[in-house]
Amino acid sequence: MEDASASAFDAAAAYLSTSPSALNLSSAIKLELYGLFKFINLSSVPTAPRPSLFDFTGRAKWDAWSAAGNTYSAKSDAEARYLEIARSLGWTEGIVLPEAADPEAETEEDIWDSDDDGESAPKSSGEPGGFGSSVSSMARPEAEHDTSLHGLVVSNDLQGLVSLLQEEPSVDLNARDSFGYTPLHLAADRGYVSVVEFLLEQNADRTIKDEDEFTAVELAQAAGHERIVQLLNSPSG
Amino acid sequence: MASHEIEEIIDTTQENPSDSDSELDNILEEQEAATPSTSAKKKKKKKSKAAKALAALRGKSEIPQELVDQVLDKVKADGAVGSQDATEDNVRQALEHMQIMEVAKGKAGVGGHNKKDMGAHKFWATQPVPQLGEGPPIDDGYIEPSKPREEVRQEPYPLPKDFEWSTLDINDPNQNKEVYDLLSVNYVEDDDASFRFQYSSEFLQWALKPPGYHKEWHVGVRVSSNKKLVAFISGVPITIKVRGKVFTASEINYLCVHKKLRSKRLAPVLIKEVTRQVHLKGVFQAIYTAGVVIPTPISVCRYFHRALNVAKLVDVGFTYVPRNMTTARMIRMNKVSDTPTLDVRPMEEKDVAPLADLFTRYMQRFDMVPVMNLEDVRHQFLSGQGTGRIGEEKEGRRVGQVTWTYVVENPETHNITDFFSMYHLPSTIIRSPKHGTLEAGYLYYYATDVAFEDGADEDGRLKARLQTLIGDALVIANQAKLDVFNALTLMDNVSILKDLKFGAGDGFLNFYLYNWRTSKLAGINDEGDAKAGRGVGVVML
Repeated sequence: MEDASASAFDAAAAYLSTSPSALNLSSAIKLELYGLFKFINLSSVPTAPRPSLFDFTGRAKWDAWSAAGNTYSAKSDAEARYLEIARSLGWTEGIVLPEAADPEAETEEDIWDSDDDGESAPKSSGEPGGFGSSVSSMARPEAEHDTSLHGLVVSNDLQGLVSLLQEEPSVDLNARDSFGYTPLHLAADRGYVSVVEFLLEQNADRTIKDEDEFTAVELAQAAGHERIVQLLNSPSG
Repeated sequence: MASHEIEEIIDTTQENPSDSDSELDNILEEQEAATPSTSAKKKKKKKSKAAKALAALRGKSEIPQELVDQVLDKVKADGAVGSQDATEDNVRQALEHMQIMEVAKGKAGVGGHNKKDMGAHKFWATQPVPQLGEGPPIDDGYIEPSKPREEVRQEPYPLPKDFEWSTLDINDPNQNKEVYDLLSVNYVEDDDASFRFQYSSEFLQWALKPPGYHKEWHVGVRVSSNKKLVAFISGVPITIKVRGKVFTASEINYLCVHKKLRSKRLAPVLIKEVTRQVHLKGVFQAIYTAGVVIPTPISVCRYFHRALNVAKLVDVGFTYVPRNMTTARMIRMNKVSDTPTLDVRPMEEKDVAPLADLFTRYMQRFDMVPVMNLEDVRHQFLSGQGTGRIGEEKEGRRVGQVTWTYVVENPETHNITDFFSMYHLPSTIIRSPKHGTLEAGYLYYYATDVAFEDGADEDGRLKARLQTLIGDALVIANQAKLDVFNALTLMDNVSILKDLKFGAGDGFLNFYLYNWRTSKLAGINDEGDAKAGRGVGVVML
């Protein structure tokens, strides 16, 4: 039993580290996953001192880990929560990982007897901002943790949505946010398959247009989310 | 703060986020490579030195002013949350609060970035570069006088056992491929390890072989037993003018050490060896760039990105959809016209002389610029255009096309009134099931004769013209099916980035001069009277 759940956990962790659905996660969810992962694999709370307030990332990670340790008393509870999040992101037991092109594979050939002075090889093994040029991508604002209906959708938080509906069954799933988007618009645009599925199960209206006159399926189409286009085009019921 | 992707968040082996190694770590350490037999002893000595320094610092309540300034600059440049509230006082307080020596030794990071930077100073303290906190020089000039050839060290620096030096011949397709293979797997990645530069063979041919290049400046390290290329550094000659003073320099680039050898301390010895080779040719200055801060940047610029293929950029995590938008709306907003506004055409051989003239006159606007003769202009702007017809192999491109240079010709005088150029540098998308390559174009040099009209800068005519001109570069980039168009905050770019819908990137580029002092050049920010960007007129590849 123990082994089975451990391997499910490993599979889920592997899935999350490669799945594109994980790329768009909010920092809050990423941090929760991080905290759970550390708790399950290492210790209930971090052993290192809390990073300085200038190391925003390090500090947030430390806090997340510590929170996981304080929330769950047993590892199995933490694992259950981890798997729950993984499932909401499209992971299922036995899912086959897409074979991503692995540029590291080539480095496996032995070019040097590995007497690396016992110094551990870097895990992320590029040269972040090394000598030469510098790789850049678009700078992002800090994601805020928003627990409203639309906020949960934007964070791809299926579990949160389910809980919200349990607590407030009367919530209007077709409500527009201040920018004119319904939850279905947002989920279809961001490519959150399981949230779209859930909203359709709850009979969300797929014909509503946003302020640009786009329906959910048109948004998914523009963004190239084929699976969601299929879902939205399939007859309801 | 840059976003950190899932892999980093759920990493499996790293206990401490600041443990990760980087090539520059190696520079921190004393150069043990040269003396492998005594390295153990040296390490011990090093430790006691560090302990002494630590003790000395503990006794001192004062945090060094330059450190406070540097942190403050960095926090502001990063634009992290709350950075507008950062003041000298609370920075000082925070530095006292954290284990400051850890930073100084390079073990902890500031804002999670540029770990180890401070520690790298140990190597750089031995080099003729301005040291941190030196303050602006009174006069521009060299730090160390040039030496006659016979006084330059004649024998190569020693390498660790089992490695050997190798001069790379970029003309030889096999050796070109070796450099390509080394770089494409081991070269610069972003902080999140999502994208890695992928310099093509054609790109390397173009970048490493400008007029007057020396093959001895293409320095490689091989494993003696199987001759595998495991490290590389290059220099190419460049004539630069910095605040009116012209000198020959070596443009140093592509320092790359195989991932498995990052602990071998190869970087310092590579730098020393290429420096020796440069000295042997009678050149004693160099220019180089880095994403990290080492002693001492003469300028720092920020990357900006103009999305062209929005859906792909969102899909691979290069950009994001703001809360108030959808991808569909971003696609509409970023749509570029199908045809250029100006009457642009690809540069031809006959344009070399007029373009060179326009370029030289235009570049006088900036404090640090390359000086190009006709041969240089032909190489930089014409030689990378590839072969065959546009669209022959890939849509919007010639075969092996690396650069695009377009000119505007006055129909009456046949003078070249404007030009822009860009180069194509793809990145490998490290993990995406759907896309393997990010096709990026980079804004290279440009010029317009509107700049020479009286008052054109002040009344906005220059800005308007540049906006149209670079807007046309976006059209050409889009026709060439590039996904994104990148530019730095240098030259006149700052004035047009916003209107052309560029967004701020999370990457910064620091500019350095070796053995040359000059005060700070305006890059990301104004410096004195110089407007942002106008200090820097050198675009590095």
